[in-house]
Amino acid sequence: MSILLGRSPGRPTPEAAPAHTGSRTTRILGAVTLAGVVGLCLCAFIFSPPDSRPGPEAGTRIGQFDAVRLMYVHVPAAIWTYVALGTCAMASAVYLWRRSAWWDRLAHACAEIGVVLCAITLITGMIWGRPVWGTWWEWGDVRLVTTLVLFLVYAGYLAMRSVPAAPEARARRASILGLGGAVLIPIVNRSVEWWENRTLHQQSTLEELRIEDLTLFTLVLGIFVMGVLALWLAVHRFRLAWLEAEAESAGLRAALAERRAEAAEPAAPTAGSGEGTPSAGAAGS
Amino acid sequence: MPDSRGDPASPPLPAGTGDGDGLDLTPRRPEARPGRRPPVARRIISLLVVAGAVGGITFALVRLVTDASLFFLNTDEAVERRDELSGQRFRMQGTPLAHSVAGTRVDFEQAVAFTVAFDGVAADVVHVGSPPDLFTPGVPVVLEGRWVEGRPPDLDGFACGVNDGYYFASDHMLVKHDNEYRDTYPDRLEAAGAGGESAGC
Repeated sequence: MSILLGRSPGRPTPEAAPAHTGSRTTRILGAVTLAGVVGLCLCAFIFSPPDSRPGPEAGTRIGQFDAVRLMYVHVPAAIWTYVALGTCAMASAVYLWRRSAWWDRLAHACAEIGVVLCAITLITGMIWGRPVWGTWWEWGDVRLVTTLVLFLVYAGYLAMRSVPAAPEARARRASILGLGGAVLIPIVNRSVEWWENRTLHQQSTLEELRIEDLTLFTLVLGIFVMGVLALWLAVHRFRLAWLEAEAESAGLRAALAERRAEAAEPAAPTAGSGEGTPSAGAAGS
Repeated sequence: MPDSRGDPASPPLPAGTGDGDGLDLTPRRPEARPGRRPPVARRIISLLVVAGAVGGITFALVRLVTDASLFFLNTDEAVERRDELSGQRFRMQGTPLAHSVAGTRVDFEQAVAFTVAFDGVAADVVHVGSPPDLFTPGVPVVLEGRWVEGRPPDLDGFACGVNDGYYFASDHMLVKHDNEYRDTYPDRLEAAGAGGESAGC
């Protein structure tokens, strides 16, 4: 928890919220991400070989050739989509139990990261599918369509969060959707196994370890780099959500102070009204 | 603190939220209150996005169910159920056999004739149209079409085919890549043929 707020663990209070989204931890994460992206680009585009093997006819080669390089982004993005949206579901469940804004903001941040990663998964998959399968999209494929549905459910989750409502009601509705949408994650992940030989999408390469040498190393590096990138983005997004809530509370406190001043104006100026006391300051947090 | 609503000297406050020690908190300048009631446009846009997501999910699921209702059969199943599938459109999966691919024409259109196999059972195919870039023997394909009895026009026979009096007339082909990335996979060629080598040349 401390990594999200950039301070010691404990129940966060509005007064203790960070003034910005950066910290030593995020700077280290950012540096690791940057170095990882450079290393991944070198491995993916220069050092790792294209996917090419001898075909059944003499002198022919089969494989995905250079299209395989998209795998180093597509597979990590898909894996971290599951993790991010799974974390959103877990945080939503805890919010419904504890009613703590901390968990609601964690769910929100993870949902945003998950939607972005899911979009990357879909786009890179389409770009890969055109040369390899011969089509951008196949509506009859369970893996493709369930991934699209997962994306739309959590895009709807984010849209629902932006519908104006009381913070508690909004968080409750979002948590129910965030938790319910997670039912799709195992369906998406297992679809190629459950409908084996009935889908266009291939089965898992990593589970059966049908990959080796530099291709395997680059894929694992891609998973690590995408994970650090997702964590870095999630930390920043969480802190931003915290600051947004703080700004909302500050607006409420300012309104309270203004009204108290207005109410006190016609009366004796000596009235000890305690202007500006943020008695309801946490209402918006 | 004085209650302005109870003080006759104070101007009456409009009805509002009543929050904050009985004070009315309705913003004087709504546009200047961050975090307060947002513009109506924001609410409409958010609801439109939610409706769009719901519509998109419905559309995707309907398309999935519609497209998935088309039978997806492996070559051995399609051959076994040939009588039952007579004239019916379905998807067939198989691996093109080595030395079986030959260019041809159907009704003046470019076509390719070849033989696919799955689990040791082979079938002849005529696909009308350009095959995908990565179409080649040894890489599985998914074909969409129907069984046709007889010999394909402008083709004396399948060079390395089954030639059993039927062929699969396809007009939609997708390459299905497997999850194999090992150069040194020992059984690769056997797996690529999927046991259908005996039906080839």
